[in-house]
Formats: sequence, C-alpha cells, structure tokens
Amino acid sequence: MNVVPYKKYCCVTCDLIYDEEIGFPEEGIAPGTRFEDIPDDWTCPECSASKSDFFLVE
Amino acid sequence: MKPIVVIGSGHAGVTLIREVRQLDLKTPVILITKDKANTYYKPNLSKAISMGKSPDDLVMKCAEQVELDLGVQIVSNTVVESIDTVNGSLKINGAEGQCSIAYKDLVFAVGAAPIELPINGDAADQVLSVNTLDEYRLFRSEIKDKTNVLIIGAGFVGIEFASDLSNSDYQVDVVDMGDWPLQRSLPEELGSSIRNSFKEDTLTWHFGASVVTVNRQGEKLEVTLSTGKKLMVDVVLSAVGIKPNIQLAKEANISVNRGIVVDECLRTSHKNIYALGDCAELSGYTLPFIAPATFSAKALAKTLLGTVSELSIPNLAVAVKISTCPTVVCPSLTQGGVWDVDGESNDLIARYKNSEGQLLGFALTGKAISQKVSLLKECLSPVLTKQVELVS
Repeated sequence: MNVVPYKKYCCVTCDLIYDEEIGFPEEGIAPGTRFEDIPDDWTCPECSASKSDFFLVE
Repeated sequence: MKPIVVIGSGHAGVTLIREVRQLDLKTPVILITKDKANTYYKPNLSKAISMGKSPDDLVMKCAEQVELDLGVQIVSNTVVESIDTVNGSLKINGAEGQCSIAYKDLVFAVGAAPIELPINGDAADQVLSVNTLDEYRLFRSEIKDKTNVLIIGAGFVGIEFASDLSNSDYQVDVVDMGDWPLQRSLPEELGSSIRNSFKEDTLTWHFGASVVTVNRQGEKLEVTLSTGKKLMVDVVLSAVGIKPNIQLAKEANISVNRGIVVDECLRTSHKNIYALGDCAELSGYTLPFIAPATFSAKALAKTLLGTVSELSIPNLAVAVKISTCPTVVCPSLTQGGVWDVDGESNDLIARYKNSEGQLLGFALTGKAISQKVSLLKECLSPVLTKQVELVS
C-alpha cells in the first residue's frame, strides 16, 4: 500500500513549522492532519499569518 | 508610474509589500529603511539563546533576496529627512547622498523605540535595550562570558528575556515597579504561578522597585534600586516598553498623538499617506504585537490597490515564552472588568469579564493554555469603533 509521507510547512513570517505528523493539538488540529485539510481561514498560531503564507519545506 | 513608498523594513513594512505583491505585480514599490533590510522575526530576539540561535542565525532573508522575492527596490541604511505632503515627495539621505523621491502613496511602517528611563550614575549610558537585531547583536556580545544580568521590567519582553537567560546559566535579577510579572495583563494568582516557576538559584525578583543609579565599579556595574538595595551585575537590560516613532510624521504636520493617528482604513490625516504596525494609533489605541500588523498589512494592501478596506482584527492571544510556565494572554481593550480565576496549582484560567459577565479577555498558565482556542471563541469581538477626528 502506498502511504503518502507526512510533509512539513514553514511560516514565511515567523519560521514556525507545521508538521503534518504532529499537527497542532493545542490549536485543535489533530496529529496526522494534512495541510490541505486545514481550514483556509486558519492562521499561524505564532504570528497570525495566513495559511497561504506557509510554504512546503523540501 | 509613481511608486508606493514604504518607510521601515520591519514586520509591518515587509508584510505589507508581500500582500501588495499577492494582488499586483506592476505597481513599483520602494522600501526605505535605516536598517540593513535583512528580515528576522523580532519576537525571537527574546528567546534566541534557548533556540540555540546566534544573532546571524535569526536572519531569515537577506535584503537582496527580499528584493528578488517581492519585486521591490530597497534603499537601505537610509533615513528620510523630510516629507513634502503637498507635492507628494520625500527627501532621503543615505550611502548615495541626498535625493528626492516622488510617491503615489506613502506608508509609515516606522515602528517604535524603547522607552528610556531616567537613570543616574556614571554608567547610565551602559543600560541596553533590544528592539532591533543590531541592538540584540550588541547585547549578546556584552553578555558573552559574563554571569549576572539585571533586567528592568517584568512585562512581555522582560519576562521572556528572564526565561531565556536564566535557562542558559545566567544569574538574573528582575526589577519591576509592580507587584508581580505581567501585572498589566493578568491577575496576581497567575503572576504568582509565573513568579514561583522560576528557580530561586537562577533568578531574583525585585518587585515594587525601580533602578535609580548605575555606576561603574571596575569590571562590574553597581545598580542601586529605589529600595536602597545595591546589586553588582555585568549587564543591565531595560525592557520597559516601547513608544511609537512619530517624529518624522509630526514634522510633516501629519496628525499624531501617542502614535501616528489613523482611521479604520489606516489613513493618516493626509491624503495618500498611511501608517501601520507599532507606529500607528487607531481609536486611541496603539496596536503592538505581530498579529495586528499582519491584519493591517492585508487590509492596507487592498486599499493601496484601489479597494478601500477597513481593518478588522479578531480576538488574538499572545503566547509568552516562559519555559517553566507556559503562558497565553488575550489582552482586553476594554477596562473596568473583573478577573475570575479558575484551576489548580499552576494550571490556571483567568477570565476578564464585564458587569454583564461577558468575556473581554483572558490569561492562561501551565496546562490551561490548551483552552486558548475555545476561550477565543467565547470572547466578545474587540471594539475599535470610537471615531477618530481626521484633519483634512
């Protein structure tokens, strides 16, 4: 079975990393939540940048 | 085409330009800054040691990269000397000498400066404050191979520095006029939790006190407090708050109060001149912290590109990085409420409520910080409706 590996995204403003594997449980985002499944109006818990201000970390 | 000119390369200025570029690639944008224009995240200055980062490590993008990524012309190490609001131009002075730039729109993103306390003594000028990466560089070089740091102020910045330094083998003294840490933002019970979470052998509190004199004593600084107590330390860091940089605006006859006065669309008293971030004042409030500047940048970008947009800021909570006692504060803009404290040991919830029992703000410590999201939803929307008188 093909499992898509978890990815990491970085906030352009404050460098905060969103790791899909860990999620942001304290923000109500469960571990394993894919970045695309986070609501579009979600903002960075550190600096309030938009979801669109996160970029994929290679 | 005349450019949009932004003064200031901090979070507010750079975020504004990024938001402009999301909507429009054609309008020329010039960023003028007295700084180098390397971007960094200012809140990290008070936690970099724990993050294992040197001042250089904090740089996220160099100025050249910002120019490329955002399609902006950066004029760094340059001050704006004066603004001609009638003809829409400004005079700058930098490495390439003096010149004049015409603008379509002008944006003040000039930030704020640390408040300087009246301190006496032959080493009063040795008191440091940190509001820029360069100031932080100086601070890190001053504390290198030293042990004792005295911090003036137990507010957001002072307490984060206290946490960062006391975690890193420094002996820290914290001096504050109030009775507990973060006194303006949370009640005594939570203040005590924070206070008691620091280890006594690394940090000493001096509440109800101020610094009167700082004198040189050989390699050390002798600090005398208002209580008469004398302390021998290596470095004194002042973190007692910031005041908006209003001088340039004032000289151009732009309406200023504590900050540069703006309306809900971030317009100043003068046509085509705007302000956002730490330098701006809306409805009698200055709007410090990162998040309000981010929301302001989004609204102002739209306004600059022709769709006049009002600023709307949702309830926001600020995390205070205290390693021994995680703390979250949602400050209330409204006064006159009453604190209601709930919880056990260091895991406390403080609700700030008005006479009708509505939630105006809150503060959380320890494990209770997990309540942030649900409490933000309970909060009344911030009220920023007092009309600002604009001089046209």
